[in-house]
Amino acid sequence: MFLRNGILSTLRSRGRALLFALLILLLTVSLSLGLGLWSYCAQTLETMDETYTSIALLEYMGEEYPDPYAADEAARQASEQLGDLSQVPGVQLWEPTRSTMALSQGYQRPNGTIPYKNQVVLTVFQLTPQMGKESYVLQLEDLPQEYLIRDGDRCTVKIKDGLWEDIAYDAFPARLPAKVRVVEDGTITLVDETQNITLDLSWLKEQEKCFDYVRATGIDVSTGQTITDEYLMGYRQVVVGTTGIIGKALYSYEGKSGVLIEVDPGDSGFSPQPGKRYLIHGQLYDSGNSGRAVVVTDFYEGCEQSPWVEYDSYDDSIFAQSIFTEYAQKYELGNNYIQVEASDQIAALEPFQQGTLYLREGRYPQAGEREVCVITFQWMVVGISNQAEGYEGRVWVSQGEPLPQTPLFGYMLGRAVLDNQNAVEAVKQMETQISDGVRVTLYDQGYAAAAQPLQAMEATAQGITLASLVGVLAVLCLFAFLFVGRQQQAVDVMVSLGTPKGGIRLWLLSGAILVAGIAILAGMAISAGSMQLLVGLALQTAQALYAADRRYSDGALGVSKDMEPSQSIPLWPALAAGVVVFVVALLLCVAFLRQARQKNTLRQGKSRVRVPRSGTSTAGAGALRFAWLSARRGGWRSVVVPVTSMVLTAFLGTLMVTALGWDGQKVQLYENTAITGQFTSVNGRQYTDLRLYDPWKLCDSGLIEEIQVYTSVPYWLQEESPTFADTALGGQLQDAWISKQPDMVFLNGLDVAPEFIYGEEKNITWLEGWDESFLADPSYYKEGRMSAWPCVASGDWMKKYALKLGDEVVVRADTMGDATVHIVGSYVTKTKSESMFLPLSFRCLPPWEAENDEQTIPYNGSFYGCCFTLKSAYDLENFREFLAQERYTMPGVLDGTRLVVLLDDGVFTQTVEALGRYMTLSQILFPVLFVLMGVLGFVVSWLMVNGRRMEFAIMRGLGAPQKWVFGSFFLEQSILCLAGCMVSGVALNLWSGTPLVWLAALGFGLCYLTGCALAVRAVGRTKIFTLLTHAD
Amino acid sequence: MGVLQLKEVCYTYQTQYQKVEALKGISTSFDAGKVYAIVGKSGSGKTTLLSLLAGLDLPTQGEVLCHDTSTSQMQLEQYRREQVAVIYQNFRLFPLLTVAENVMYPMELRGTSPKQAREKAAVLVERVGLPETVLNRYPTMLSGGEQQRVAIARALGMDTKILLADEPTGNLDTANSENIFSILRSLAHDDGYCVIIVTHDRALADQADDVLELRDGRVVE
Repeated sequence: MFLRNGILSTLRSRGRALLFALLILLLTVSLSLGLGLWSYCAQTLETMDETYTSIALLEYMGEEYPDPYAADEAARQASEQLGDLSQVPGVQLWEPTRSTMALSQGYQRPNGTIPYKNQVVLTVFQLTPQMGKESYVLQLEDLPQEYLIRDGDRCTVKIKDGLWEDIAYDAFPARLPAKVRVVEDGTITLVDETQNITLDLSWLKEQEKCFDYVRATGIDVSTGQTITDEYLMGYRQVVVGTTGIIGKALYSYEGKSGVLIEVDPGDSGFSPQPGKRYLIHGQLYDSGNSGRAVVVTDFYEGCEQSPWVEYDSYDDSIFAQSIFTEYAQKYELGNNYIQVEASDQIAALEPFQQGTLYLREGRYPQAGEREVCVITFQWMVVGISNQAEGYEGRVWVSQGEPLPQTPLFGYMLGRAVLDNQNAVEAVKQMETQISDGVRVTLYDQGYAAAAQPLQAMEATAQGITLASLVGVLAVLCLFAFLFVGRQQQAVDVMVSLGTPKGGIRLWLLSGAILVAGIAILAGMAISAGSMQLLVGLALQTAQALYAADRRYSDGALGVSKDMEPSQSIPLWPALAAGVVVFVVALLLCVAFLRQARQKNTLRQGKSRVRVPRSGTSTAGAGALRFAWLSARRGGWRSVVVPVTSMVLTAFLGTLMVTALGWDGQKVQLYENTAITGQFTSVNGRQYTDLRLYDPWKLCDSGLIEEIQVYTSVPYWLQEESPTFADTALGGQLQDAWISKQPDMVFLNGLDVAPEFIYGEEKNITWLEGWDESFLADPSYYKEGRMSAWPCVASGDWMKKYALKLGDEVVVRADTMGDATVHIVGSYVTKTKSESMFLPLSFRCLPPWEAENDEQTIPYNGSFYGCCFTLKSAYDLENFREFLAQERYTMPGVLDGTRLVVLLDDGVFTQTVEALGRYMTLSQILFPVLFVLMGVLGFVVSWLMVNGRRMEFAIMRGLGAPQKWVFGSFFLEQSILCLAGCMVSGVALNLWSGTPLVWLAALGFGLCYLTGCALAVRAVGRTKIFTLLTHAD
Repeated sequence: MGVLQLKEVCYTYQTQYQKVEALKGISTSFDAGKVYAIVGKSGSGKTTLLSLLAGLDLPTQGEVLCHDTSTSQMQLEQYRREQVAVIYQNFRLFPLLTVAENVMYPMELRGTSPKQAREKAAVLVERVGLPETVLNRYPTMLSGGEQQRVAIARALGMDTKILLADEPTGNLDTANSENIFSILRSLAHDDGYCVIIVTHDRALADQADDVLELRDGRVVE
């Protein structure tokens, strides 16, 4: 009975029941969708977290970084100092680099990747001395009995004590031999046809009897007098080298067995005896048409073992085991090695992680698996990768193989596979554990780009869920109040009829719960049916709206994994939303039961309202007077409204301050972030030693604030340079020596210097009056070569040569000749670099200083590095567009101009995205919250006004005009509401420091007062007759 | 000629489920200086009749004339403010206003300054037999009889000669009831008020100068 009557009573108030059923249905759908989207995003992100892993590469920033073949002892030490990073939270796998070299018969590395190209260990035989002409100053006592003096165009045949014949001769002395005719009988005759003289000069066959007369004239600096020095210059044949035939090459990159070769003893002191056979160690130079030569060199500096040894046959023990065979093996291994690298997660190794290599066939070795590899010679090949330049001859095995504990060369110290969620924190902790000079680079396999739309959608879903929950609470409060709390009349009747409490509860709850239940079930059904479609649409929208532009970004380095979004949309959110709404409805209805059972009658007898201290007021007039008196004396009502206003204004204000904070943070981020970038290698990791012909073109974008470039040539001190023979071989040796000298770097800013571009701190001491700006000074170009070029020199280099700031020193630069440099600054790096920095304008000018394009190009035609800074972070997207339009190449993508540009915007973009997500959340949430606050204000003011219908009726009964009545109540509520808003506004203003929080106060005040006005109007429209009747 | 006249007054209202004919062609007249009692059983239409006389609504047919002017030709608010004063069974005093402020309220509605109204209120409160000490109290601190006196004082403050009372003694004990009625009678007989009282109390009605009995919306002769 109670159930039936309760349900019927509720359902018979059709309009109200329908309205609330609709509201509850909509909120159930909204909550279901919010939860559904949220759970879908969370689930997909969790799957992505499992699918994607971040890779942290640890590299030592050594002197020759990033040369993968450099044997840098400092890198080895850094590797050994690395602790066990596997204990860092978030690290799934930590693998120090373990690589070694192995040989594979028949495998020969391509030129360009071999360290010992010229080194040879080979045998030579049929050695023949090579004669050469040597000049020397002749002493009179050393002269033979008879000799010929050539003096300009004259020749004089002399005997020791006098002139034997003086011959005037027109011919150039060098051509004299052309007049010396060798006749058939073996005599040599000097023929002067003009004088018809024929002399037998057979004795001149010996070179030693033919000399040049030299007269040198100069000025004595001390006396200023002209002095003349006269002497005879003789020539003689000497052994300048030896030729031989290569017998057996224990090691020679290019073979060459059986070919004729010039044997240069170099500084070794090798003096081969004709007819003997030698095993020699040296360097082979093949200059094509100019011939080939081997220079005999020591095995190493200070080696006691001479680099040659005579042998009788190949059976000698020297061919079995000796330093010669050791070095031959070393060179073979060094040149034709296969690099073996051990890892239990080969796919996480740099070339695979970067996408340079991929597994084409087979599989990777399993963790700990022995004698298998991706490519091998003895082991079982279980996988074959593609081929890529720079990765020839690589073998990957599992950590089970007994390789050396530290890598033999290169700068890669190790890698850590990280949880995506904890990657950044893990890297931060790693950085506290690693030594100076070690850099950690984090790659997320495209996780950030793929996750961004989902994270944005998740934030939106959280907003929808939160807003729905607030809505559910507000609507269900009103619902419970109206459907249960306001049923005092029915309760009175039931109580008067002796209805048991349980029956009253059942009566009241049944109807309300039925209405709510039906609406909730319908909402759940609609949500479950439309969830798939709506989530799909939301995902598409989010992907379109929030897909971050990561072109050219360092945040997008490395291989990107593709992950198909999950198609399974869970249905539990619909169920959960339904349960939540139902439980809340039930709880609120139960809570309002108590109110329903209280009699709604006027209090009789003594009141808790205090007597006004000031007695009867005569202040003010009209509606305002009544409003003010009611506000002052309203008791709890006069507390509820200001407190509600205060709390809700504070809530909105806090949200607004938070949103403003996000907005401010975003603005600050844009204002304070300098987006930099640089040209890089294809994988985006090498910034120096590039070949850039027109980096200035970036300036055409109009978005570049600063651009720094550098070009360089090797330099050395003149006295350091060894003497090289004026031959092709000597040239090659000289080139090889020069290439090992430190660089004279011409640049317009130190940021681009190879020593600093990888992030090393610039530790520079300046000569007084000098700073970095001189490097960008264009005047050096126009002034030409100055007497001394200002430069920043290496502190280590200065120490080596006992130089100090302000010193001037003559250096010789490759292709530039001698130059005097003036040291105006010195720097120290951990890598002990000896580079010297000079203004770019010694080589070229930037376009904004140049008069024509030619002036912008350095003498050697190209720059070796370039970094730049954008004018503003706001220009980032436009700059990406510019790069794309000009077809600059993105790291890891082999297309476009092959000029790879990398922007250091990864962290910035991620932060902007995160702020964007919060702002999206606020953009969705705030309007909903404002409307809800408005509704709440309306409900509160409605309740406040409705609770005073009797006063309303009295006023109307006494003939108070509508405006008066409206004003009385509206002004009273305004006073109370504004008081609360003011308190919150002042507090928020003081707390946040921004007057914009008054907007929150104003917003809530407007919402509340609108609700109040509507409520007063609604009561005012009620017929006074009805009002008075009900008021009773 | 009566100060209030009813001419064939009918009043019909619509509830959610039915149409109710509360008054069915009532014609009568009320004169100044007399006390009228309207009696009848519950649902006979007496409160409806008083409401029409109080200008809370207009009759659906016929007319209510006040000094020969139909209420339909007047602004009802102005009519209630200037022509009639009503006393209710439940006093209907503003709970947040003091006794004085309650009495002052209708005066202020008509433009009297609060100061003048305060002085007049003190006189009126004294006139209905309340001590001056109650002026600064809230109505809820007074007894029922005192509250009804305050209501009468407020009605007197309206400066009109027509006083309508809906069960004015309904919530009062006998002594208080008699006291209130004597005040009303005094106002009619001594001050020329036209006092119309709606009551169930037959004894009270018998003390009136004239009794109008209603039954099913009609006047019983």
